[in-house]
Formats: sequence, structure tokens, C-alpha cells
Amino acid sequence: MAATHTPPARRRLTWLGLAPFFLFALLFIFLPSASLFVDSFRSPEGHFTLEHLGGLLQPPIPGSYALSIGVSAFTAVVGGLLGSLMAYALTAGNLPRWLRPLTLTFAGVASNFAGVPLAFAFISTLGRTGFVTALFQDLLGIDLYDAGFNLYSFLGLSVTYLYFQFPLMLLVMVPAIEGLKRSWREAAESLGATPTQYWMRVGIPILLPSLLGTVLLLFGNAFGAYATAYALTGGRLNLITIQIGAQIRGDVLRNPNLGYAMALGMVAIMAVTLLGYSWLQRISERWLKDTR
Amino acid sequence: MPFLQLANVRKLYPNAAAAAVENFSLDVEAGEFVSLLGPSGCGKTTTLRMIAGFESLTAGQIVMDGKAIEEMRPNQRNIGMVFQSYALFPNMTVADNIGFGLSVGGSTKAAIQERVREMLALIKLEELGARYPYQLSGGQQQRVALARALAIRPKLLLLDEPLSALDAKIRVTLRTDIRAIQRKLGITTLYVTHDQEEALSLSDRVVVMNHGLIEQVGDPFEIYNFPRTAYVAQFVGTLNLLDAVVVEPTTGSVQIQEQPAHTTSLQDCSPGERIRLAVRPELLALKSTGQADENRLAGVVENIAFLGAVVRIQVRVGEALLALDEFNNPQLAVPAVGSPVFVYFARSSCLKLL
Repeated sequence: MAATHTPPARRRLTWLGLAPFFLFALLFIFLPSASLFVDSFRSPEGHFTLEHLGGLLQPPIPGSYALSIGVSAFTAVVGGLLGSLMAYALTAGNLPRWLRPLTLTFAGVASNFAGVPLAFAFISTLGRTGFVTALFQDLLGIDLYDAGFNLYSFLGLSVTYLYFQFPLMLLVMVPAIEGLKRSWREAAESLGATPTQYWMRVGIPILLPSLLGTVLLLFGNAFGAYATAYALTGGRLNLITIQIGAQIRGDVLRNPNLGYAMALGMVAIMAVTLLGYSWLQRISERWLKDTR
Repeated sequence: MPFLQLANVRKLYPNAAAAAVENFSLDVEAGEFVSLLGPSGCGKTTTLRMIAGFESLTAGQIVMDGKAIEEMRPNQRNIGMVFQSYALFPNMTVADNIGFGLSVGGSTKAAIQERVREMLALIKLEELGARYPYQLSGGQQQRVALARALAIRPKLLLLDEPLSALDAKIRVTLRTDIRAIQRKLGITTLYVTHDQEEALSLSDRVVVMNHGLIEQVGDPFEIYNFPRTAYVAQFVGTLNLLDAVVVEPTTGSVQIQEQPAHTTSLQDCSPGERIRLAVRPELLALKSTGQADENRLAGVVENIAFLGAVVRIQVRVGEALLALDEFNNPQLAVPAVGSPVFVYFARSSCLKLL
């Protein structure tokens, strides 16, 4: 087949269409990242220093990183599991047809619902005097808080994050599961495989790059969250994003350059996450597209 | 007793107005290569999928090697299947794909490796065992799919349009290979295709299907040369259909576009009856004179198409347009468009269709 050539004028116009994205990326991703990088190595007087990077090893910063990574990993894994099971149920579970668009619409909204409104929604439902907490007390006689639950704890924050985590997983996994070809299952069956053998040796391994990639995406999603955690817990949970805010805004603490170094650490963790995500996505795309 | 028997098989999908397969009965002998031929939607793939166990039967019975199999799960039937879309598992290497059936069946590692080696040699891809499907061409992928289906030593091999996604040259090579492998292993094979050339060149017998029904079953020679219905005649090869009026049934005398002609068998017709005759393009000839017992129709050349080895000439005879094929010969002149010609054909080449 002959290669198709786009005229230069048309190609320039195509690039022009992408200009807003590049401008946005330059102004709000690359320039701030470069500024973070530079300021992390600069003293308040403007001299080069490694002091701020060294400060990352001083308490409570390592603990904040660990807590952020813990919450992000927990909500990514639990959200990933819940989202995957829901996606499987929606695509292969013989559920009523109307349920699918309804669930996906909810997932689309919920995956973007975060920040102060989400925190408030959870305070008014699962807070100490929240509606759901009262419902448990009145109908089932269970006091959630006496039973050990606390919305302003690791678990409470994780439950809140799961509100936007598992819908995101659902949105990504539905097309991935639908991408499993019927002929793969039939080929496996005709070769003597049981449904379990098919899933263990074909279905799940094919989905694995998408699954792990999306779990990484969820990890990044939770790792960068600030407003929800801040509005929900105030300063009670020392997530790294809350620590950075405290250092830069300077209500109690103020060392913007240390804040920049902490943010640089976050950027490094996010970069590794995104590289992993992109690598897994490439494997998945190659498997699902290049074979008929 | 035939190796595979389909008796009065019927498939009606829920909410469908008509059955996808109706009253389908077929006996296949052990080692036979049978093709199901027909256009899209004629029920050939549905029939194959019912044999494989991927579709349930609405009615009828399927018996393989003396056992009724219609209630068995697909993974209990020991039937190898090759899909149009190859269906190779993208997460496995070629060798793992081929060994998959043996592996899930609990064979030892050594036995799997030995069988994979045999299969790779059979499909002449010995060097490619470590590659992944996305690193293979379409033709190579389909060879691997064939090897994977054969590796489990199935009782029956089903091929569902295995070549339709490949380009023309590879199709011809691969179909020769498929037939050679089938002959070598002696495996009973059912092959679904919409390509008449493929069906005719590969099969011991061809089943022509239309609207879920069997139109005709026969060997390729019979299907091509003696089509029983107008549908088979038209679907298999190119055909000239001629409306005719019976003049004298005992002598086979008819009128075609108000010109006298003869055919061989009109015993069941009566004088004045309108019938439909069929003649293959390669059995017609443009000549100035012919044998006394040949049919001759006068007409005018309407179009000439050069097809490489063959020149297809269309001649207008009254309201009918006859296509005839002549081998390309640069030494002979082709008649000009618009010139009057005589079309000759033997009485025996003129078939009456049901």
C-alpha cells in the first residue's frame, strides 16, 4: 500500500490544533516542574544547596511519604479490585441492559467528584453524626465509631478516596474486558480448557497489563490528592501533599524551598508511576491490537 | 457407519423470524474433507459452531464416532477448531499456544515439548517457537492456529473461513498446505467458506447451503458441472441462464430467444412449458461454422473484457446476455464490439435447472 502524504499546510494546521495542549503543558507542567527542580536546590538567599533534599530524610517527612504511599496503594488495590469485579459483572454477568449505561454514567461522575464537596458529603454521611452512621445506629444498633471506624483516620480517608477510585477503575476496565475476544475463550474451550483454566491462563494474563496499569493510575490519582484529604482531616493525617501545603503556605511551618524539594520527590514518584503505566499500556495495546 | 452424522439439525435463534439452519442432515466419512459453501448468513458457520459445541441445537442430533455429542461441553468433544480471526492467545509464545491444549489436559512437559516440535515441523515454522503472535504475519499466525488445533490429536477438525483474512497469494499457498496436512494426518475435516474456488479445489465433497438449507451435496466435479438448482449453478462459478420454451420434450427441442436449440433431458416437461437452461461460459464458443449437432445462436458482441489468461466476451442474443470465455491467444483476432457472431455450444452442455 502506498504511503499517504499530508500536504505541509495541512500538517501545520494539525499542529496548530495541538497548540493549546502544548501551551498548557508548558505553562502548568513543564515550567512549574523546572521551577520546582531549581528551587529545590536553592537556599532562600539564592545559593545552590542540597540542604532541602537532605531535609526530606528528616522526620516527619519520610512518614508523610509513607502515609501517602500507603493510602494511595491501599485505595488503588481495593479500588482496582472492586472496579474490576464490577466491570466483569457489567460486561459478562448477564445483568439487565439498563444497568450498564446507568452504572457507567455514575462512574463517570463519581470518578471526577473529589475535593471539598466530596469531603463534606462523607462528613455528612459517615461523620460522627452523619446520616449513614445514624442509620447504622438506629436500624442495626451498631455504633460505627465504637466499632473502630473513624472517618478522619487512614481507613476513613481511604473509604472517601474509594468513592472516586473504583469508578475510575470501572471506566477503564469495561472496555478492556470487552476487548477480550470471544474466539479466545472458544479456542481455549475447544482445546479442552475449563472456564477456570481459560481465565487463569488466558483471560486474566491478557487483562493484567491493563489491570496493573490502571492500578498505577489510581495510585497516582490518590497520591496527588490534596483538597479532599485537607478538607476531611485538616492536619490530622500528615499526607505529603498536606505537608507541602503547610511548608509553602506557612500557617505554622514555612520553608517554601523544603516544600519544593518535597514536591520534587512527589514528581519523581509520579514519574516512575507514569512510566510503569505507559509501559503496561504499551504491552496491552500491542496484544489487543496487533493480533487479529 | 459414518464418522460424523448430522440428523435433521435445526437452529432457531431467539426472536428470529426464520431458522438459521433448517433440516440439516449430512454424513461425513472418516478422513473425508467436506466443505460447507455458501454466502454470508446461509447458516454454514452456525452449523460448524453447533458441531463444536458453541451453539446449542434447537432440534436434531449430532453423532461423532458413534456417540451423540450435542449435550457435551465444547471442552469434552475433542474437536480442533481453527478460527477466521486466528484466535491465538497474545500473551503466549507460538510454542505455548501450540502446547496449550496438551498443557490444560495435563500432559507432561516433555510430551508437550515433543508434540510442539512435531507440530512446528508440520507447519514448517520450526524457528518461530519463541515468537509472540504479534511478531508473525497473518499466514504464519493461521499456520500456528492450525498446529494448535491439531496438537491435541482431535477426532475432528473444523475450519471456519480460515483463509478469508489473508491476501490472495498466501491463501492459495496455505490452502494447498492445509489439504496436504489433512491428507497426511487423515483427519476428518469440515471446512466453512464462501469462496467457491477454495471449496472446489480442497474438498472431497462440497455442501452448498442457502438460507439455512442444503441446496446440494456432491463432489466438486458434480457440483460444478451438474448443479441441481439455479442457486447452486449461479453461486458456483459463472453461469449463463437462458429462458427457453419446450418444443418437443422427447427430442429435447426448445426455443431460446426465438431461435431453435436442443438440450438432452426434457422427459418431465410438456410442449410449450417455460424452462430455465444453464450453460457455463467456457462451454460456449464463437465460430463461423460448427458441428451439425451443436446448438447455434446468432447474436451481437456487446462487451469484451480482458482477464489475463482468459478473454470474456459478452454477446447479446435477443434479450439474453451470454458470457463466454476464450483462452487468450495473441495470434487470434478478437471480434469487435458490435459485430454479429454465432455462439456454438454442445447439446449436452445445456442443463435444465430445477
